Amino acid sequence: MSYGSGRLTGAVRIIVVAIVSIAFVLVATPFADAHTALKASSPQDGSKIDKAPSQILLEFSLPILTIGYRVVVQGPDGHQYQVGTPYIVDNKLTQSLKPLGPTGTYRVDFRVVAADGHPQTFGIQFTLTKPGPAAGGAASVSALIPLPPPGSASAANNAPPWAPWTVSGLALIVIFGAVLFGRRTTHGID
Amino acid sequence: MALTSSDVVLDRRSVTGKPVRSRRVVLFVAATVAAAVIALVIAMWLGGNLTQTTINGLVIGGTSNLTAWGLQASKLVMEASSVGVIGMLLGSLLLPQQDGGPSRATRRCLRTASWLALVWAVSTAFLLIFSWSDVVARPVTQLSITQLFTDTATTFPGAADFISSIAVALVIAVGVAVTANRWGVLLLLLLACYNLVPIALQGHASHGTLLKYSLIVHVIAVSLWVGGLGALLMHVRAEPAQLAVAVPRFSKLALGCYIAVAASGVITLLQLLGWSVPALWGSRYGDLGMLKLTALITLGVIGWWHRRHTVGQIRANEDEHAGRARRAFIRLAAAEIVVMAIAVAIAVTLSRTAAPDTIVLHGNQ
Repeated sequence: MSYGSGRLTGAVRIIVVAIVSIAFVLVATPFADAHTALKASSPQDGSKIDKAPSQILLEFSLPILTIGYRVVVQGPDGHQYQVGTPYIVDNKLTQSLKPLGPTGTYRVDFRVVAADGHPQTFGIQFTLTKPGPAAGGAASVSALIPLPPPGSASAANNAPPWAPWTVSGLALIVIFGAVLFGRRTTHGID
Repeated sequence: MALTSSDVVLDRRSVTGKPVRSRRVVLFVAATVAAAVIALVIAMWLGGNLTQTTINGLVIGGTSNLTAWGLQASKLVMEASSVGVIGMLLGSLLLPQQDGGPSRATRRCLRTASWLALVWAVSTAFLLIFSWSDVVARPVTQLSITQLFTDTATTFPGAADFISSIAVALVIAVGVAVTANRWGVLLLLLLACYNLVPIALQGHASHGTLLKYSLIVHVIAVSLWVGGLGALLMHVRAEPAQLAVAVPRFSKLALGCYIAVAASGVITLLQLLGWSVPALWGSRYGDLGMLKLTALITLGVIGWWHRRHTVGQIRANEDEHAGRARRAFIRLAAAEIVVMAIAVAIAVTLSRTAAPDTIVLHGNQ
């Protein structure tokens, strides 16, 4: 070993400075906002309603930009029910609908660009229990209904179940390999 | 700066007394690029960036395949070239002077830096186009460039960051080509580090002060560390006297960078996982994060071997130990570069992967 305690003190000093500055940053800064999330919608996600809405209302946690938005409402008959362009004010989006038709599940898929410039995709669905105006039923007026907070482990965010195991196995192999490789490569140097 | 490429080749031969082992070099470069590309594809798939939600032909989740792949590819090239520029500039500063002026290795570093800065500017321009296409959910062919300049706010509000980054990269490309002075190079190095910031903050970073700062620290430290090692490996490996000075200098810096990269990386990861360690297990973001942690630990192990054996011995460039230490240094550094390339490729995807708090799904309650 050609370096003595002097070098080590230098390393220790760097580590101490790093830890202190991290601690300082942690104490001094407020925690982050998350990405934009869907705060409320009408109809509510997963709800069963008996009167067909004439529009979809969506409220986000951040303002959204008036670029790159897209809303698709698909009925149980496979037809699309959105009509016209969505109307965006600040963090609220309104999409007018054609008169809804048959009973069943309507999927609302939408993509918006939050004020931070990130496109995001969301989806909600609702079930119409009585036929809509296009099928002879009544139409209803909508009001915003807040969503329950989303669970932190929603399905699209989940990796396949084998993935973390594969990754950890790979990690062990690679790290162990690095130890062996380093030992072989530096063998006989000093 | 007046060296032509044939001069450089002759030059290397004369220093080592042996012909350049060009086939090995080509193999190594090919392996590194392949590793990065494969890592990018696997990470895109694991991160869920390949799936597009389509309903009756209307794409909801993203835009065309060209945009999805072009975005990632141009980002990878941009990251690699920016790391290269910073590393080459750093490398030229670490090298000792020769006969009262910049050494040949220094000039080679600077010339590579100039070309890479040009690549940086061009890849950022591509990144601008693909990001724009991605944000407004329109194919590249339907974008109106004139509208971008006349009405940025309603066309693509983020464009300013990209355009300023392109401009600064061009300034660096020209600046390096006309600079042979250490202070000038230092200034350009600082400018290059600054130029990492706008694009780095395009990812998930804009969600808080802590995240912003840890990401800035992360990208700058990574670029100095990875790029500096790349510069030593590319331009100094065949010059024992220069390595003997540059490697110990770089080693100190690399330790500092490693600590900064580890600390800022862990903070960023935890923050985006909502300070929940269990979220590491099972979320797509967490899986990619674990891959990067693996790379970090692997690089730590290799760095430990460096510090334990090669760095101290390489300094005494006269005896035969130094020759062995030098060969060991080159092998270890080559392995490090491959791991780093994989980690950077994963990072490119990670910055576009949604953290677990952000997705709402059909009937998830």
